[in-house]
Amino acid sequence: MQFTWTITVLGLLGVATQSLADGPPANELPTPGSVVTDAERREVILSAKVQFPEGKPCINEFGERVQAFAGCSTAAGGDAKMAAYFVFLVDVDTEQVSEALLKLGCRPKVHYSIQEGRKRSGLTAETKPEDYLQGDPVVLSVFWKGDDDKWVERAYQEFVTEKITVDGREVIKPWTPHFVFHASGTLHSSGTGCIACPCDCPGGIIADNRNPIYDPKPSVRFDMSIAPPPGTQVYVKIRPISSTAN
Amino acid sequence: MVGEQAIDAGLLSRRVLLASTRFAFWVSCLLAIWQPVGDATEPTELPMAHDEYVYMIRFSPDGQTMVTAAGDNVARIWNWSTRQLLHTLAHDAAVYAAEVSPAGGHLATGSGDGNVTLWKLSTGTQVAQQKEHADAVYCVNFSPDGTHLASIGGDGEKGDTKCRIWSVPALTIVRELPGHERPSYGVLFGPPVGPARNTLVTSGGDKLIHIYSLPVGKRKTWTGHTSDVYRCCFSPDGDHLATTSQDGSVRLWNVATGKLVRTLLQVKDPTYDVAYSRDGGLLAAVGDDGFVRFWETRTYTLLTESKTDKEGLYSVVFAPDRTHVITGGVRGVLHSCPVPHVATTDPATQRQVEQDSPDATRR
Repeated sequence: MQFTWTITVLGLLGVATQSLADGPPANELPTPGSVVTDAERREVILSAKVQFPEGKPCINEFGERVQAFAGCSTAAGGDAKMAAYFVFLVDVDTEQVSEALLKLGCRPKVHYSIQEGRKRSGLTAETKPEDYLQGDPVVLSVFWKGDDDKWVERAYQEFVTEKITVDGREVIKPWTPHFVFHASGTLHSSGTGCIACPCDCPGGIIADNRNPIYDPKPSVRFDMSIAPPPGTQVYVKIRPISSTAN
Repeated sequence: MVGEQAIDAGLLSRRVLLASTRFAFWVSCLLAIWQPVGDATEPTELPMAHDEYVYMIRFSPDGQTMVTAAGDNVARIWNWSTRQLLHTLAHDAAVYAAEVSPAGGHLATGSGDGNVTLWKLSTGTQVAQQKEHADAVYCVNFSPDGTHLASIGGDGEKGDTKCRIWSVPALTIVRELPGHERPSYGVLFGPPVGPARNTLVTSGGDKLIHIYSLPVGKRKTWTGHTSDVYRCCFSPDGDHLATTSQDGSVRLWNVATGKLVRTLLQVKDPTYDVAYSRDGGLLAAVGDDGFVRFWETRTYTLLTESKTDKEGLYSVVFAPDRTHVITGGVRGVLHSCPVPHVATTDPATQRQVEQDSPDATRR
């Protein structure tokens, strides 16, 4: 079973990871400290550096964590509280990222402060729709210039695998998050700096809301060996699917 | 003969019993000696825990009671000797702060919903509660005479960061201090001796440390940290203040001059809490890297550092017997971590630290 999944994951990676010879996969690249909001391509491009959050949960080993793998160095007017946890450290405020997504028509729907989120944590028979953070769906990817001078783009979730238990056995599967823009982190000034969290967490602005807030958290592993080396200049791309319905 | 045999048999059985009792006694003694040696080198997880995020740990002055404040919306009162849970104090939000009054009669808590609550420590019953803070309360501290309580907190950029001083036990506000421009994480009355006597220190997300003279309230500001300043601790003689920060440093300040004496540590991850031993001979610090670090305070030399938890540690406190510190953090578990042996500090040599260079222990 595990072997099958591994083959599947490798196959997906081979198909989905794009090596782009003709230039960067964006109309314009942000200079460090700025955000590109491309209304034509409907995407937000952020400048980031790769860092190795050695020893932090879910880095090269399976674990649960509330911190994003991509996040900002500053948030809520100060240093981001979780900056040391991010693999892709974006060099603008989280508020600027939220603002760029809002400009593209991406809308948050259910958002909470961390305090309020804790009250709604967990999956029970009484869990209500509003116990999930909600907003327009988004797709994230990371791109960079490889050693051969070719641009490489990889979906955010391709750096990560997920461990689940089936019939008492642990199974490694592709990470299949459902990311939504809830904007809690900026609407409630959490200060964490998190952009896209691997669980439903109101500290950031984008969350995987397959589960209710905080509980259960998926067991995930970020594979640093498939990320570019620490210090590499990369770009984080966020593409919203803006809905028109309420 | 039969009777003699019976007597001999009885005597023999008593001797066997005596010998076996003596054997058991010596075995237990050997085990008692051997066991602590094994425990003394490694942090030990305690059978006392919360579901998540232990933010603060405190002991009563008599060392009989331990208090924990946590993100699972409760504070807990424990019998330290038996490790038994005595009382669970329910709150409506995360409990970020807990402090026992100097006489041991009261426990104060601060929570994420802005409440400051006073409890009777022996019974866990609520004495008073006030919700004057518009945002989370991150720290509370009693004045040395126990007649006042200070509280501070905040939220985001525009939160309520005022420092409030309350009367005890009525919990009426007697003074408000302006606080910081960003969330405020630490508040601490100076000890009743030395240059910190009649002072109140606050630390905040604006990278600043404010020190107020009481009761006037005149404020001085110390700068040096390059990011949010978290909790701080006065040395028992009031000569020094140790501070922690998001910038990954532990800094030592001269209270009399307000000058930075030395950066004791500079690491990648934030540091969250510091504690002096009651005799002032040791300083312990914890942070997001899960390490507990100890300095002896004659020269402030780093003695040991041990990885105590795989995730971040938010609180550290010396156990009453000073042989261990107790830590708590992200995972909600408590650890007992042995302290390195160091001779009791000689106050006459304490000033040696002031003559040293301000080099950090960089990791």
